[in-house]
Parts: sequence; C-alpha cells; structure tokens
Amino acid sequence: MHVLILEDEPVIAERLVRQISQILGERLSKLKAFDNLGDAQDYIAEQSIDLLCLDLNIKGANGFDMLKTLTASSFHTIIISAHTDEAVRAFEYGVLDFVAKPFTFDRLQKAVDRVLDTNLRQDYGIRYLSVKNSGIVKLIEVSQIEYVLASGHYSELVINKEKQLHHKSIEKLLALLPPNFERIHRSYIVNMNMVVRLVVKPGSNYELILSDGTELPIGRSRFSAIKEKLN
Amino acid sequence: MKPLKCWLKLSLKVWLLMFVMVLSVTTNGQTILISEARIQVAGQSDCGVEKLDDSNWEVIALRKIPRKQAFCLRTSVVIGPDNLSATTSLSLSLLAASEIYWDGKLLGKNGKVGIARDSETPGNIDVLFPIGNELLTLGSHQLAIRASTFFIDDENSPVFLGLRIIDTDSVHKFLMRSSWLATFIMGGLLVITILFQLFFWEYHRRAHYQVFSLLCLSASFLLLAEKWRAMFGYTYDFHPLRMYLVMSFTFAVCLLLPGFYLTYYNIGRKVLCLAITVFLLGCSLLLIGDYDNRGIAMFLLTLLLSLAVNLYALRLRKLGARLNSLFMLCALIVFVNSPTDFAEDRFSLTMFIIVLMMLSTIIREMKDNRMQSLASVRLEAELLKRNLQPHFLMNSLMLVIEWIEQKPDVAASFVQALAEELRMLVKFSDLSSVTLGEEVQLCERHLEIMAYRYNISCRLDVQGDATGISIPPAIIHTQIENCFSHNHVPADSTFKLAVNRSTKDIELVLTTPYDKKTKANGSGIGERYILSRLTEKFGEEYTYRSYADENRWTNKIKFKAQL
Repeated sequence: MHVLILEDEPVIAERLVRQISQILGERLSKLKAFDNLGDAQDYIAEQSIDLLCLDLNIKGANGFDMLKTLTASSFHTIIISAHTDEAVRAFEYGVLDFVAKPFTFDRLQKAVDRVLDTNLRQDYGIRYLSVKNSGIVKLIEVSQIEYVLASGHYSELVINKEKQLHHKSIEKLLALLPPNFERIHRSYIVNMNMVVRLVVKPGSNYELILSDGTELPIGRSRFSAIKEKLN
Repeated sequence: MKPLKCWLKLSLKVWLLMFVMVLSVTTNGQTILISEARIQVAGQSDCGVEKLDDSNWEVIALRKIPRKQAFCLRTSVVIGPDNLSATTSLSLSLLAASEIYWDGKLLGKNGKVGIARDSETPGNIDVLFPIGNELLTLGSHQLAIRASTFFIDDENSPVFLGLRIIDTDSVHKFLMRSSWLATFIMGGLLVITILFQLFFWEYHRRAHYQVFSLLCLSASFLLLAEKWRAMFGYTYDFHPLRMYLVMSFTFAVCLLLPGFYLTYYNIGRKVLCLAITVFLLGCSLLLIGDYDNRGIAMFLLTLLLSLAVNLYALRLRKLGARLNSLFMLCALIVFVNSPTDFAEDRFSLTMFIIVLMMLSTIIREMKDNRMQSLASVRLEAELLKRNLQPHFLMNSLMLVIEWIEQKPDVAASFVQALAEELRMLVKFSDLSSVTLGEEVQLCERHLEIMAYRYNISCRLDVQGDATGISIPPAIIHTQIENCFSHNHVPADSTFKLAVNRSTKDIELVLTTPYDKKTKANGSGIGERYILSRLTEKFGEEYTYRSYADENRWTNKIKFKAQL
C-alpha cells in the first residue's frame, strides 16, 4: 500500500510515519510525508497512492476546499485532526475515517483496517461525492445517485441516466456509500431507494427495475440477499 | 439610535409645549397703562384733594420719579366701557411708601409715607387697590399718589415699575399660571441638580456632570429670585437685595453655560475661554447701569459664546455638537425675539431642553458602557478560548503523548512551558492592560512552546526601551500566534519587536517571518481581537497596520504615550 501523510507538525508526522509502518508492516509499499499542501498535491499528481492521512488544518489552506479535491481522487482519505467538530462535515464529503487528535495506536490501526477491509461499510453515510471533470471539482449529492457502474479502475455515477466518472474504484466507493447502496453485481452498486421491483427473466436471470425504468442485472450469488432486502 | 431619536423628538415636543404655555401666560382684559403725571416734590398732605390746583406742577415721565424724596403725583384717568368690571383695581409697582387717592377718596395705603427716612415705613413693591363700583364710573377721574422713596439706596434701581388700571381676576390668573410653571421648572431643575451630583459622585467623576449640576442649581435659584417678587412680594427696601441676587445668579448661569459645553466636549484651553467669559460678563456688569440691560447683555453673551463653543466642537466632529449648535441657534432666535422676557421664563425652558438632551446623552453613555463591559467580558473569554482551541490544545496533548512514549524528558519540559503560558493567559484574561514587559514574557513562553512543537529555534528580540508602557493584554502574543497559525516559520527565526518612542507617541513594530508560499497571513479572529482590545484601551487614539513585504510580515501599533 502506498500511503501519503500530510501533516505540518513534524513530531506528529513522525509519529504517524512510525505507527503506520508498524500497522501495515510488509503491506506498506511506500510511505511519504509532507508538511505543506503544494508538495503533497505535486506528489499526488505524479504518483498513484492508496491512502492519504490528512490534517485538515494545514497552514495556508482551507481544509474543506482541499478535501473536496482530494476525495474526488481514487485513493481513500483518513482525516487526522484536532477539530472533532468538523468530523460530521468531513464524513459528508466522503472521507473513510476521522481520527481525532490526540490519538492512540489502536485508534489509528482501526482506521487503517477500514482501508484494508473492503467489506467494511460505513454506517453514517456520506452526503456528497466529489467528481473531477476537466480539472473542475463538483459535489454530487449521494441521494441523487441511481446506481454506480464499474469502469475499469474507475466508476461511473449515474444520475438521471447521465454518467459522471469518479476516480475511485467501485470497491472503494462501496466502502464510503451509505447503507441504502447495495452491491447487486460485480459491476453495479444500486441505490435501493430507487428500486421499484425485482423481475425474473428467462434463463434464471434476475433484474432490478428502477423508478426511471432502468433495468440492472443482479449477480447470481447476490440474488437471495437482495431479495431479502427488498422484502 | 432609534430610541434616542424618539427621546429627542419627545423632549423637543415638551419644550415646544412649555414654550407655548409661557407665551400664552399673558394678562387679558383692558388694561390702562399710566406712564406720566404731574409731580410736586415735598410731602403734600393735601395731595389727594380732588380740586387741588396742580396746573403749574411739572409733568414727568413716571420712570423719572426721584429717589430719596417725598412727592405727590397727580394725573387723570379716563375709564371706558371696557374697564367697568366689578374686579377692576389699580395696580401700583413703585419703590415707595404710598397713599392712593381716587377722585379725592383714599383707595388705600402702602406702608407709611414720610418726609424723611426715619418717618417712612417702606411699602410693598407691588400693591393692588380695588377701585370699587361706586367710584368706577365712565369718564375722567382724578388719581393722586402721595409717596416717599427714602429707602432707595441703590442708584441703579428704577423707582417706578408700573401703574395700571387692570382686571384683578385676569391678573390673579396670570400670577397663578406663571407661578405654577415657575415652581414646576424650579423643582425640576433642583431634582436634576441632585441627580447630576449623584451621577458625579456615584457613577462617573466627569467634570461636565458637576458643571451641569451647578448650572441647574444656578438656573433654579435665578428663577426663584426672578419670581420671588410676583410669588411672595416684599417691601421695596429689599428690592436692591433681590436685584443683587438676580444679577449674581445670572452671572453664574451665564458663566456656567459655556463652561458646561467646554467641559462636555473636553475642549482645550478651558481656563482661557472661561477667563474671557468672566471678563466679558464682568464688563456687562460694570459698564451697563440698568439691571434689565445688564441681564440682556449677559444672556446675549452666554448664548453667543455657547453657540461658538458648539460650532467649534462641530468642527472637531464632537458627538452631539450638531444638535446642540442647532439648539443654541434656536435659543438665540428666541432671545432676540424678546430679550427682556428671556431671563424670566424662556431661559429656564432653554435649560429644560438642555437637561433633556443631557439625560439622553447620559442614557446613551450608560448603554455604551454596558455594551463595552459586555464586550470586555467577551474579549476575556475570547482570549482564553483562542488558547484552548483544539488546534493548539489537542496538538499539544498529542505531542505530550508522543514524547511520553518516545522522549519523556522533552514531554516534561514541554508540559512545564505549556503550563506557564496557560497560567499567564489566565492571569491576563482578567486584566484590561498589562505592561509591555509582561507581554514580552508571554510571547517568549509562546515561542518556547512553538520551538518544541515545530522542532525549530525561534526567539523574540526586543529593541528599544520597553519600560513604563502599558498595552492591552495578549495583542503582541496574538500577532505571533497568527504568524504560526497561518504561516510556515523557518527553522531558525527571529521575531523583532521595536519600541519607537517620541514625546507624544509610542510605536510598537513587530516583524515576523513570512513565507509567501503559504497563502494567508492574519486571521480574521486574531485581528478582530487586537482591534477590539486597542479600541477598548485607546478609544480612537491609535493606529494599527499589518502588511507583508518580501519575507517579513510587519505589524505596527501606534498610540499616545501615557503620562
């Protein structure tokens, strides 16, 4: 795993480096720490990272502007901040976890475990997903999303039949999306609030019909779980 | 501001209402004014005889009646149909003992007429003799007054003050209304005198409260002295004493009114201005013989001087100067319209409106003070809150945890430095000002903590003499804190505090490292705190500038040197 730390207090940055190395052990492929946003952004542009540990109060930067851009990226973000009052908002913007300062080794480990365990779902749910399109970041309200379609390493968010490319994989998005989003297929996550009914097609193929008439396939292994949820 | 405007509008309405009342307090009915008569000096015992031949007597204007003499005045009065009232009287205001004869019949005696001082008993200054229906007939009547004026010692007092045939009812009504109004105003002014004494001793020792209290007291006494004659009367030998009192209180009032505005606006060279006022008022007293004209001159002077002070204050943009100038101008117009009446009632009413204006000013001051004390509490809370904010406190605790695990000795030193800074901040939060030395100590503690936190070396270099300077708490500290919160501080940094003194001003210049790469320096909250604290301590008598150049951030605070 390729981890980047953005923290302007050197002693805390050292602690993060030491403890994340310890938690990830051999799973850590590369670890880099920066104390300013400019250097970190340059690094992110050049390198493909898996996890960003971010302090929201970096000098000379607006934490939430920064967050909006970063959460549109392919990697997961964990906030490490003294401002616990900002946690709810941070989650709404699509961070995987919020570690309050001062933190212990165990708390940090729990946060990193969320990155490693793709089956672990958030129970609080994000409100927005930021998407980057031609360099412009815009926020999409999660409740408007009908379904998410896997697109290679990326995903496509479908709203009113329009597709928005998101840089996170479908697995990473599933970890962030609220519980009403279900993985129904290897390539599909659906917003269950948009589902009208379940239909059986010839050849034991199952499909979900959404309110706008869209038909989405259900993976065989997932059928019984989906049916149970709909009931 | 809204309630204040309503208050002023209300006070203006009250003033106008009372002004109209004063104007309406006039006698009505047909009055016959008698202003000249034939005179024969010497104690004529047959003065009242109807058929006395007075054809060769000298005719004089009554205002030229001689002092220290016994004399007889004779004139004829023509009674018309309008004067045939059951309550028609003869009203005589004369500094004399007198006997009044109507068609040869004695109407009444006032004191005892004598041929020398020892044989005279002074009469009342104002007397009213009912004429009676049997004597009051249409046509010409013979009026004779036998009088002596041996108790007039004052050269300036006019002897004759009025001789009229009047309707007693309307005169009584006039006196009642005039006395009621005067008593009301006098009482009001006395209450205000006490109120402003209480303000001065119990609320705020401001010179203009004391001057205003004395002004109200003098105005009240002046009104009492003016109205004493109409309300209580006295024998004419007391007239010079009363006039002396009227002049004294007029002098006091005319000196205190501009004096009040001088202290109210806190205008410089008060002593010189007051000396000029005393000189001009003194000239009026010495150069003008007649009491009425002295009073007119003094009131004209005081209104002009007060207007001048207000206009000067307006130029200096003092609060309330516009309204007060306008009001003084109105008072001056009222004065010019009827100068002789001004001393009696209108000045009191002018005082009344000044009182209302003063009260509204004080209410506003009290409100401001309350807001200021609330603001002060807020600032204290803000100082503590800023230093208990999560970014500072939680990061510091994080460092403590890290060092306890990794470098326990550093943890101990850091906690020590942190405790010391927090102790100082708690102490500072209770104060509205600290010495520059104390502030520097606080800054040094903060730099020590920051050196630990960022693993850098930083120091505060104080240039110039920092002794004897008092500033609001934690303002330099806030500037240094801002530098760390919004800016990247290099590993080896010197913060410079230059103390520049001139005879009048003190300038504190703090230069801090500035990294252009970090976008923002100067937090809104920190700067607001600094400005609020500076305003609290120095009012508007300070300047604050904060700007960046190549690699330094400069903060300049300039304020007046305290004596």
